[in-house]
Amino acid sequence: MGNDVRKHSLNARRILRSILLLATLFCSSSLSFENAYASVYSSPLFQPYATIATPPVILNSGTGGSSTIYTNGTSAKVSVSAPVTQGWIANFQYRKKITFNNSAISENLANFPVPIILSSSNADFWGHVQTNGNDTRFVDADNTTELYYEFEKFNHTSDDMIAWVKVPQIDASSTTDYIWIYYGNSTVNFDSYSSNSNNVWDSNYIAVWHLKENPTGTAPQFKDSKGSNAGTANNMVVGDQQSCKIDGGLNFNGANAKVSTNTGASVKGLTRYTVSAWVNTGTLNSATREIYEESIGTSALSRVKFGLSSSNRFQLAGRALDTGSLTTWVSPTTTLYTSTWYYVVGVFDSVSDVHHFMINGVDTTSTVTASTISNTNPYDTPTIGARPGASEFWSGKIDEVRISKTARSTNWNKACFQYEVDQSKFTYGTEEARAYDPVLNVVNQATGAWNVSMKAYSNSNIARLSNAILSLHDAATSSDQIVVSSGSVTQSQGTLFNLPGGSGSTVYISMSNLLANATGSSYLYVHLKILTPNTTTYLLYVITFEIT
Amino acid sequence: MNLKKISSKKSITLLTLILASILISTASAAVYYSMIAQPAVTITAAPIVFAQGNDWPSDSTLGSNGTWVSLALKAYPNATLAYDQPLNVSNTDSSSHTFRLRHVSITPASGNSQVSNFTSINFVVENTAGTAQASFNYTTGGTTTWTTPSTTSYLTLPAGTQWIIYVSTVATAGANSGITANIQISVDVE
Repeated sequence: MGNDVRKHSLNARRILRSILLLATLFCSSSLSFENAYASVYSSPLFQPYATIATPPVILNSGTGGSSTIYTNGTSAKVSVSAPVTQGWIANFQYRKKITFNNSAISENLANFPVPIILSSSNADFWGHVQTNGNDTRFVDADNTTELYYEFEKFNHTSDDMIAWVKVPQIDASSTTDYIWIYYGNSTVNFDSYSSNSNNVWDSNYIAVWHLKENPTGTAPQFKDSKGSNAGTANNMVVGDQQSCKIDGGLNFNGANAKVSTNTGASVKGLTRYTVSAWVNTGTLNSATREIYEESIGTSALSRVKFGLSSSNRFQLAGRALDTGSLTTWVSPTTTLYTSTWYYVVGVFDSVSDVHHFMINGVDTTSTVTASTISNTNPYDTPTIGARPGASEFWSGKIDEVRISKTARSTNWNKACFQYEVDQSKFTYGTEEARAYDPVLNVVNQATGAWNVSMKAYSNSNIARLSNAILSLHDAATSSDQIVVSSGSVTQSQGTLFNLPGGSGSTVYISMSNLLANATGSSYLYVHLKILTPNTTTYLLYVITFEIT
Repeated sequence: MNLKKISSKKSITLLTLILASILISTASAAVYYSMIAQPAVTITAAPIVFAQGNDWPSDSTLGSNGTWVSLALKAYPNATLAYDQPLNVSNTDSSSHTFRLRHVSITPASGNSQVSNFTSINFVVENTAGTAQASFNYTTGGTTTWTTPSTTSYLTLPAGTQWIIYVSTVATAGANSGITANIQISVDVE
């Protein structure tokens, strides 16, 4: 019986196993059926395919900073420097330091006019200054005090600039005193420091004539930089305006040519005066010839007689009173030569009674008792190149005539000579830049046009950057794309900028307003977006900007 | 008492009852499923279809009824090419449906040297507000091996709603022009 029960139990288990198997099969068939139900909705098939193509736009290195263009021209790294200073005057992109060599002058020169001459050898300056020079600024070493200046010449075609700059002080014997020239600002015009030549020349100057103008122009042709004593040409022709010591000057024919000035240039009533000029002795024939003369009285007696004596010597002569004989205050015995430039200075001093005549910085003195100049007006207008009464005509060239109502010091006059004759007295530093333009060129390789823009997607250590602007531009327009201000990105992306269709069409990436408050390296990680116009399909090129 | 006989009878009866029950329930179920399955096959159109996006790439093909699409993409060396709105996925039904993306195949297959010309081919499903609902990324890491995406979870596309499939491609810096990667992705719809 025991076996029967065991067998029976075994059968029951087999039957139950069969039942479970059937149930499982049933359930499986049910699941399969449910899946069949779900697949009633067909599965849409998505078949994208991506083909590698040649980039339609490439990056090329620009002329500013240094750049690395990576394979295929679709990414780049740009490295530039930001000046580390807080003193940079706002919105000017470039500057140069101008250092004076005053080692030969044992006197502080206060409010001293220096000629800053930038020729074509300063290509960086000419490459960045505006075409009319209206963005030129001179600033003292403190990077704050703007200095008065006067252009004697600014020619962006021939790349020639002569600017007279009033320097507050050049220390005695210094070789390190300096000023700055700033330039590169397309949004400014001449300001009060660059449009008032009167302020360039200190208050002791009565008259300053550069004599650079066309003598046949509308009278009075010759500007007085002090403003009151413009000169009028007499018996001069166009050809009498010639290249002289500092830009243009006048060539006098020795027969009848002269320049009449204005009675305001008179030395009347003065105890001291100084008259100076650059002259070229065209003829030395023992004739008295005048560089500058002022006369008094109906007899046209000479009050100031500054020129050549009949003994072929320079002289400063004249009379303090309205009557009496002509007195030679001082006449150096220096032998003169024709067709030679001399920087001549006559100093009348009735206080010390020591009078000076300096030729090319070499001083000759003479002690002659003199009185204060009478206070009567000149009989004729003071004249350059002749006696006012039309005699003693100068033969040769005259440039840069100045009258001062003081006795300029020997050091002052020597410094004038040195700075005007010797450009080695100036050291022009390398250009410092807040701008690099362009750092990259974005060049179209396709026929279609594009819209491009930039977006900063990351950065590193920009807290040290006071300012930075990344822009896109072409020849006509510019668009600021990314702006850094006070250590943070204040504008992370720009508006779309047109890259015209056609292979070779180019827009430029520039950097400007760079300024840091500490040394270091900062990085801006930027996407250059290249958008097919009127679509949302675009390329992203990665550009790393390193600012040290 | 003959225990053996008694047990056999009960077993047979029990087995008969069970089999009868199974047959009845199976027959009932079959009838039930056939009743609900029949209309799905004969009446319901595909509720989720593809449609051209605002920036439908040229050379792309959209199949009839929007049930398949061949999307022609480009890739540029060392640059990201982004298609913000190349393709839409639409629920044309009056009820919401769920769908998912499932990788089927990609050629050239891993191991082919051409694979290393690609860096990534990424797909992102974005809802109407532009919020990413799922990412579906193929990457190589510059090697000859594709890392294919996992099947996404089911996404609920509301009735009458159209979403966008954003695409971006990146080729390696030294990629050679003309190489093509073909992908098949199944959109499973529930």
